[in-house]
Amino acid sequence: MTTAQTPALPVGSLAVRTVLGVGVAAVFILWWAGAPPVPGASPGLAIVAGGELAGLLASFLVCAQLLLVGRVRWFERACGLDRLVSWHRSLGTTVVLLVLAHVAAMILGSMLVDRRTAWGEVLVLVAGTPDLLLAVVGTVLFVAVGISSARLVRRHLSYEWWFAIHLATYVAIYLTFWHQIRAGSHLVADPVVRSAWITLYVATAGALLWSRVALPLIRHVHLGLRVEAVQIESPDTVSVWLRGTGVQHLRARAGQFFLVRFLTPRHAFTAHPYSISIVPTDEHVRFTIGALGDHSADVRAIAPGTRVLLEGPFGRLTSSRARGRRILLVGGGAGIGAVRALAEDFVADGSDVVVVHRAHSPQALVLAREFPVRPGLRYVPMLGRRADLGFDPLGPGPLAVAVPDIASREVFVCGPAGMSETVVRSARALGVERRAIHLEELSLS
Amino acid sequence: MRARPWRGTIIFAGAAVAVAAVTVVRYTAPSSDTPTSSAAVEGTHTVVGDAERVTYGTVQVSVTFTGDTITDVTTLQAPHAHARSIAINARATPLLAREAVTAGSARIDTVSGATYTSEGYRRSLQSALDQVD
Repeated sequence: MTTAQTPALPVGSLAVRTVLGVGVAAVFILWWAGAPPVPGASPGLAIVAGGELAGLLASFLVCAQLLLVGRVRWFERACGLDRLVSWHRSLGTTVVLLVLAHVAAMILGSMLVDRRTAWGEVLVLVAGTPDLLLAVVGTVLFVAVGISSARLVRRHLSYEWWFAIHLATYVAIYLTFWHQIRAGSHLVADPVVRSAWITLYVATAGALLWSRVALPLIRHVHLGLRVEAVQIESPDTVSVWLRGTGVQHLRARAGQFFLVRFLTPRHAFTAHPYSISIVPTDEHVRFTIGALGDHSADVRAIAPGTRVLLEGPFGRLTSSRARGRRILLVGGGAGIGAVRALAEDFVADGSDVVVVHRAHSPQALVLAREFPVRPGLRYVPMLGRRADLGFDPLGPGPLAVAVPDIASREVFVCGPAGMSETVVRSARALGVERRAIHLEELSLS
Repeated sequence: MRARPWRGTIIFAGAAVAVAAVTVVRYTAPSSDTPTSSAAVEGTHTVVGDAERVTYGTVQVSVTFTGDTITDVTTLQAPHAHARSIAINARATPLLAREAVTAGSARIDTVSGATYTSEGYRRSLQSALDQVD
């Protein structure tokens, strides 16, 4: 994430950063005010106090973490969900490490103070601190979630498994909450701080329940969205048509995506980010889905008539990002769906559009027939595996041949992360300004 | 969107340094905070609790009531055989006193790092409350 690549709304992003920064500062202040050291305080006590500060910070950041990816409107509008997810990933690491530092400092400090061995101290702390045993279980869950999200492990876990493990975070937060308000010396000592802390958690839970449960259900009651048809586009890509009344009230724009939840026993517990692949009409909306996880592959078996919950629309990769009328859209994998919708939008508004469609084989050129030969639209398939070709078709050379006037175009990229990086590098090499390149990562994991 | 694989770890490192620095500053700076002392006020009465033996020494408190309400708890004795005990208890006993005033009873939580003192504190406090009933 660089500001140059996603230049829109830096003010909103700054606002979110400011809120986080003020929160962290408040935690430092309440810790400073709440733990006056005594004359002659030992290093052990100082370590315990530092451990408490680490714990308070971790606890605050956990709430921030939930709000960042809780599809809370204000945060999402301010930054874009992809940037929020990126922060969530980074801060997730921070939180898990802070929790471990908290545990280590509390044990080490108390060991020094009480002159016990580590295990003896652990037993004394667990026996003598209210709800600490629950917190130990919660900490183990936190660490498990952290490990499951680590790059190396994540690669070998399906989205569904990763998501299920991630849900354990809620349990972990619940389990660790009680030792904070019952045994945390800052929260026990000061009713005001304690109330503020409880308010922070209750407000976070409320925001999540509202935006992730209540709003989608209310919307479903209004729109009554159901699956109308599932169309197999290629061996690993399907399009899902949804029908409902008043779809225009979703106010979705081409290039945006929704979190889609099919209400079947198998799918109800996971929501997946899918881009819309046509400009929405009064009654219909269509998503084009690549076989990225177990769930995506199962989507082809979903029966027409299945109820669907939508969260969104999300994403800022819309035609309003373009500052000119000459456009290059590069799509790959399921990203071609968003390109398809964007192309419709741009052509309708009179822009000159080139679509580069990257695929391994002609069979994988899904939606190709939806890019008809017409003035203002040129469709360029780029086929072949890099290993067979001996070069990358999206490298600067081949891209310059396919789109000689690329330097004068606004470039939109939708596709797998590796492809997006290649396109950005090539476009930069061919003289496209950073701020004329637009992309958004469509992943929550 | 470029991946930021080490950003979370870097933020943690920064946070850890900040926590350590703030803690060191807090614990090396001369402290101006003094524990609150209980002055005799009219309309109040004070009851002394039993002296309770705990692992590192003795805990004894006196409880000040205004009417039936606990308005202050003063620590008369706390383990003081070691410098660390003094330090722990100097921190723990004001917290325990505030807990007792808030709870209005001896049902108060243990202060972390001061398990034995907390236990003795509860027992001495309870004995003082028992004298009033």
